[in-house]
Amino acid sequence: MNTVLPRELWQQIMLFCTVPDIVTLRKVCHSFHNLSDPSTNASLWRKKASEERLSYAADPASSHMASALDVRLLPGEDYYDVVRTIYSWKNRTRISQISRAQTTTQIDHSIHTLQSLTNNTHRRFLVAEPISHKFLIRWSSSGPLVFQNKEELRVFNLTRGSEVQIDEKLRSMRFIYAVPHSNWVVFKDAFGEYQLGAFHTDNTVLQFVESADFAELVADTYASFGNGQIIPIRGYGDIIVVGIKSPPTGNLADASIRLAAIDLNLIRHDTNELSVKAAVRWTKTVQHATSLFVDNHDGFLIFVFNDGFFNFKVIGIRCGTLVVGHPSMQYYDEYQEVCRADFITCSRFHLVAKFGETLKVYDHGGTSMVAKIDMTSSQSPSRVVISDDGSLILGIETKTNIVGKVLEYSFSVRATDISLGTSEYHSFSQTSDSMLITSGLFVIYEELKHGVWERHRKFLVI
Amino acid sequence: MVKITSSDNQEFTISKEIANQSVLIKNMLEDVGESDDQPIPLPNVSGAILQKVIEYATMHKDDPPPAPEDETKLKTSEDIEERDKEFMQLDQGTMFEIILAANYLDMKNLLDLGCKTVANMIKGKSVEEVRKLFNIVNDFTPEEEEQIRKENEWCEDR
Repeated sequence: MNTVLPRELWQQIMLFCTVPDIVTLRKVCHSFHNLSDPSTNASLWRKKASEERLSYAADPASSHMASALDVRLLPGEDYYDVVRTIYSWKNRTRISQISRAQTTTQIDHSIHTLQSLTNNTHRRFLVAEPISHKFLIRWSSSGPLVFQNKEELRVFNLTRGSEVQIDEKLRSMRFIYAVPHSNWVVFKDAFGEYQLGAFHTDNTVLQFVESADFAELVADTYASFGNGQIIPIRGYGDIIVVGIKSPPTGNLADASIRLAAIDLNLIRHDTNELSVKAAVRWTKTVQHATSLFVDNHDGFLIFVFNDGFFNFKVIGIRCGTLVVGHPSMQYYDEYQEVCRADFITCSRFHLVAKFGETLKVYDHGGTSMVAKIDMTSSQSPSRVVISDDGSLILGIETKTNIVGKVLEYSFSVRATDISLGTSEYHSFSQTSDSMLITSGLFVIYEELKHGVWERHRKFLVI
Repeated sequence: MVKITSSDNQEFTISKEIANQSVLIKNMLEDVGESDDQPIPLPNVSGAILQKVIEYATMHKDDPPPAPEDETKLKTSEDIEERDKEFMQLDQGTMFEIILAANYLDMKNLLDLGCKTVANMIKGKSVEEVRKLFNIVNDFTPEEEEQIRKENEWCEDR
């Protein structure tokens, strides 16, 4: 080490270095390497997270770190999707790829754009469907819209069309899920307990809800399959579905998934406090299921199970308006199976399955195919999403090119109107190994013009 | 006015507002009271470096007091004013001595400026370039180098 400066001043200098430079310094000599005291990895983690605008809820230096990371490591868990790069300080491993799309400007831009859309009372959202679920936002046409990153938690009430205040108790918690068409936002506190927030009567405050009842039911469901993997919470209205996969045994035939639909009943007390009365209304254990895809469309929660061999089984529940004590929730079991598809996705009215270079669109009501879309291999989408009204299929294609020494990623998004058979394309490229596509989303909204609702489609690259 | 003397007995007379930019001098003045006759000894700073420090303090005498440190804010080396960049165009030895003086005199802004400048010198350099820059000998064995490479893999771009 250059002996002119003492150790503590080199440590001060390191505070201003970027993470790659700190890593370089560590490799220079023993003295620089030893600048790292036991807390340095934690602070490095924090610094990198800040640099890359990643979100983390727990203090890496605290004991909550391990559990916070463990939660995020679970495949399909909300925050694993949201936070695209996770560093395990404890294990010194990187869990997912870095995405640099979330720069400060891009995040601010997206918030600004969405804010301007949500603040406009002359617009109503029909669908705002994330192309992938890898973003901080949960969309629906009404109910809560939540942003959370390292610095802030912001909640919009789409029903009211404005941002709401947030109960201080909720600010320190990690956002898990905003239930579409509802009052409910699910959080996890520092102790790993599920907590609920709900809009207050005047819809201007997201208030903390005393929810031990709910937390207990969730914990009971998770406990029912021992050390299985937790499935992301999904819901609609006052119904929240929690699920768990059986612990792996090495034999796919043993795999099963258990789901429980919990009905939430908000109780408003004279003291202005809120609590919840929760009850399990439906449970289902599906055998031979190794993975689950949950989709959410206009009152339908659709569960697509994969048996590990790309044979898909689809069940769903319809969450209607609930009358206290008489839930109008209906469910249908094993009504449709699609075998050997590359992937399957669904909307309220359709199932879409990809077989090689063909997309087949099935009617939910039976097994009849309502559309067949053939593509060339270059157009073949790697992912597909459908809008709530079933009118649109959005396919995503990615390509890589080497430009000089740089790998350039090109993304194409194809929107197909099933009923009209028309397509439109949006293409862009990114000179980075980041998956920009994970932060793009289509927003479909209607605008009131001269008393007539006019439909628009907007593609946001965030 | 306040009189200060360097380690090599050079005496400087500076205004109180310039002197107060150093928390060390400010505290000393408060402790011993103001006296025109009695210079404040600064045995850890040479005359040449003290001259540069006074130059910096004079340049920043009209600046507002530094804001309290925000622990949550990401520190960056990129927010250096142009006049400060020019001020820090020094040889490495002088730069390090200024950092040491800023630390001793408790002048946060100058210390941060020095640290940012060194961080910028390191920025983007390879391990070998950093060794050359600071005249450091590699004291790792090949096994240790491999071990450190693995240790840091988790936070490197792949």
